[in-house]
Amino acid sequence: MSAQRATVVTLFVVFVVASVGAQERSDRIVSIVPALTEALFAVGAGAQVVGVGTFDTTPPEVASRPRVGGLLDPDLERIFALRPDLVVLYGSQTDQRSQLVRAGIDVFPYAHGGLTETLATLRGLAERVGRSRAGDTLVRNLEFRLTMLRQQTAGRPRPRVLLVFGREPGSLRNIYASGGTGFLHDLLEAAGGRNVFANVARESVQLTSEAILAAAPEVILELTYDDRMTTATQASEVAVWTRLPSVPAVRGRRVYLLLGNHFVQPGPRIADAAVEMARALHPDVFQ
Amino acid sequence: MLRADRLVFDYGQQAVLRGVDLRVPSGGLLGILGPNGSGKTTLLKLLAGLLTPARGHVSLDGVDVAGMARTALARRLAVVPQEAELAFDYSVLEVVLMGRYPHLQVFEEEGPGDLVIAREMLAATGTAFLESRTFRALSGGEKQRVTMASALAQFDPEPTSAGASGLTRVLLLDEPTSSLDLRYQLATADLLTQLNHIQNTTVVVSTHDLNFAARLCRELVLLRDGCIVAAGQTDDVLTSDVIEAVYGVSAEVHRHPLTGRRIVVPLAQRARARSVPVVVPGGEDVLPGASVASTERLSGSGSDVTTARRHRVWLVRVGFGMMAVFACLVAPLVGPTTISLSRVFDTSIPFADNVDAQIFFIARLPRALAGALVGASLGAAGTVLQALLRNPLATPFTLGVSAGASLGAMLVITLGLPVGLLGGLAVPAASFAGAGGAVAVVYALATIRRQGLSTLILLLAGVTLNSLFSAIILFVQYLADPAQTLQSVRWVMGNLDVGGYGPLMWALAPVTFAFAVFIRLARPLNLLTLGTDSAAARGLDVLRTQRLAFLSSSLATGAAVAVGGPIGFVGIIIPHMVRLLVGADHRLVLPASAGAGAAFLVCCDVGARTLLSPMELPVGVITAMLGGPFFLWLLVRHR
Repeated sequence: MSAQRATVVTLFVVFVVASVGAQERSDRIVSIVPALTEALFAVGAGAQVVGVGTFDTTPPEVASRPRVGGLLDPDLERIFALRPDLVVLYGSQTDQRSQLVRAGIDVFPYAHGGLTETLATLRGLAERVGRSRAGDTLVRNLEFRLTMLRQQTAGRPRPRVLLVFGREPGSLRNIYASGGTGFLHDLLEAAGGRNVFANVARESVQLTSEAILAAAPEVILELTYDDRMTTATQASEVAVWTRLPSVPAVRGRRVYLLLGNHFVQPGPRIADAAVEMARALHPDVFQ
Repeated sequence: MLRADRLVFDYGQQAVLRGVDLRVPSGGLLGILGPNGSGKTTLLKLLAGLLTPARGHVSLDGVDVAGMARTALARRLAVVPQEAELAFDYSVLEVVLMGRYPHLQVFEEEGPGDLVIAREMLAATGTAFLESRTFRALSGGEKQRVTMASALAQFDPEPTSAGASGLTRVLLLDEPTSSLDLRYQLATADLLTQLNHIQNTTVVVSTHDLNFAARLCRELVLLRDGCIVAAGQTDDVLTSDVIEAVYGVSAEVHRHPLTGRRIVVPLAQRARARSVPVVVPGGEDVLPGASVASTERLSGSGSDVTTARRHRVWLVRVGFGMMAVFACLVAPLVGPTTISLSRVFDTSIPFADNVDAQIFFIARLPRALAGALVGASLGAAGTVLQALLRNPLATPFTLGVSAGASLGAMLVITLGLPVGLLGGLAVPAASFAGAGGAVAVVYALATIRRQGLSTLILLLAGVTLNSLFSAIILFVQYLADPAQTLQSVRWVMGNLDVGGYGPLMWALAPVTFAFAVFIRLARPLNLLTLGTDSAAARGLDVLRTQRLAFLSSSLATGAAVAVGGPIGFVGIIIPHMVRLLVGADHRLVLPASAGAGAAFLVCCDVGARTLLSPMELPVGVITAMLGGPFFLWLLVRHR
């Protein structure tokens, strides 16, 4: 009896594990979250990606995939037409989630957060598509590089940094900067900087000129995902800051424009983003 | 003599008058009768020069009315319209004083003489006791008589002996008795008779009331389908045959045994033979004080009142001006960072090192000045547009200016157009251009149909353009990526953090120009709230005023939006708040709403930059939070 029972239990366990395993190996994936689309390719699941979001640009292979909308305009009809077994979408897209679930399609909701959450998400997504090992490697690698960065900048004076990620072009109006939460803040800390608005418990802060003058940052890092910006435009955008001459970053000519979408996508290239920040903050360490 | 020769007029396809000849001798008393749609009102408007005939012409003492200066005509020819509705709460005296418009220079205030004349006319129409009441609160009959007083105030002073000047003075009345009870109908007839007899005023009255006409008029003209069917002495014309021909109604015409006047008794068509006994009131019933001849002169109190008014005007201008200046001076001292004033003005510290001075001069002062500029522009532009559209709910953004500006800004933000060329002024410049485009489209639509500027089409075109542009904006935002969308959404909430004086310097020229026009517009706007015909009859060049009002307010709004984004509610709360404080006269309301708008927005902006410091709170959110409830209260109050 016990042998028989053991056999049944074993068979059941095998069945469950097999079925779970089968469920986890998605063959047709649609992802409309650029950071996670990139992550899917990074963990070797690129071939399974059959549809991507409007704003996906990395890696270049996404150009060959059909587009199915983005954060504001996911096109469910197109998504259904691609017959996906997994859809990676934003956590805020609750209506679309419930419709997909009703249609029997699995979803992987993306939740925005800090560095820890970003790494956990990458790991979770890799696991979900049956690439746990690749995901583990990716995350360990990122963690390793960030730890290296922390060690390299440890003991160095940590400059007070204003981290800007939005501004009306050509002017100092409608400036958005990183507050004390979120992956950008965490990357800045890892890169050996001190966020001047770390005490504001928000990811995004719209700033007044007065707030910047009063905060007196030593370095201004301005992120822009537009990597096709001409050098002339870059120079004029940096020059805009001279309108606040008393800011130490302006006086010390330490306003840096960092270009590329890896600064705004919490994906597999966040360590690159952190390294670039560290290069700007500690030029003596990174020759 | 007032004379019309072969007048032809049509509204588009429909002919209204088909060759009407008319002779009203100086001192004549003519009644124009006819069924609805026969062209009576059109004929009166043509006689008054408010409409231009397609063919034929109107002359007064041999001079073509079309060629006369408007104010010169208004001093000799006045019109009492059928209904007078005012958009705002003017006092009765203010309405009557509007009649003095053709006698005043551009910036001239009414003097004691004007006040005396206004009071004489109030007395003459039996409305002296209403002087300080609000016109809108009057009964229909009271409004009618006050309107008549206002029209009478237009005339040049009475010649020493009747008709000595040799110039004909004409009073045109469109259905003067339609809203009057029996007693006031009789009083009106007596007043008109007196004006006619004693002052030798030529009176032309259109009416449906055959017995009123029979009682009052020496001569009658009966119109039907735009043609004169009968004309001549009242007793000769008013016959049952003529009435049947004109109205298609059979009637008996009797002669009153006491007055000798004709009495018309309409009959039911099948009961033609039966005669009905009629009681006609006698002619002795005259209103107390309703006598032109016996009016006493009130010159003593006149100069006191006008001096007091002049003081009030200056008090309002200086008071609200000081309010704005005070706000601008105090606002830069308030903020989340503590700065020391002595350090701000310490010239021994280089400016580049002086954080306090930079906070004061870069972060705070330009914002305060921007708030003042934008607030004053929106407050004044709102006032002007409300008067132009005669609509208390109009705002500076009603006519599409803000939507056009938003679209312009949106395109630069999302498409990243020639930013390098203009630097920080790219978005303001684009929004100003967008506002200009919207204004041009709305203006073209409103003037395309006829020679005039239709405020109704202006309003409809503006509202339609607003939604059309909003749709395009949504479409552009939809195509843009989320970061750009965020920027453009943020722009729409308004932001006065101009970060320098550049945008202000650029905006100063259009705003100064607009305000120069506003100052001239103040009194014409008062007249415009009477309605276009009444305003034109008082000698106002209505089309020019409307054009100037629309273009100047659009200019000010466009400049304001370019500087601060479409900051809502300033342009509607401020004019109303100011009207509650200083009354309806635009010579007070305009400067006051500019001053109050400036002070209000500067204060709101202090809130925007301090409440959530170091975060910026959109100033549009603050004005809307204060303005929304106020607007609702206003709506409820108006119902």
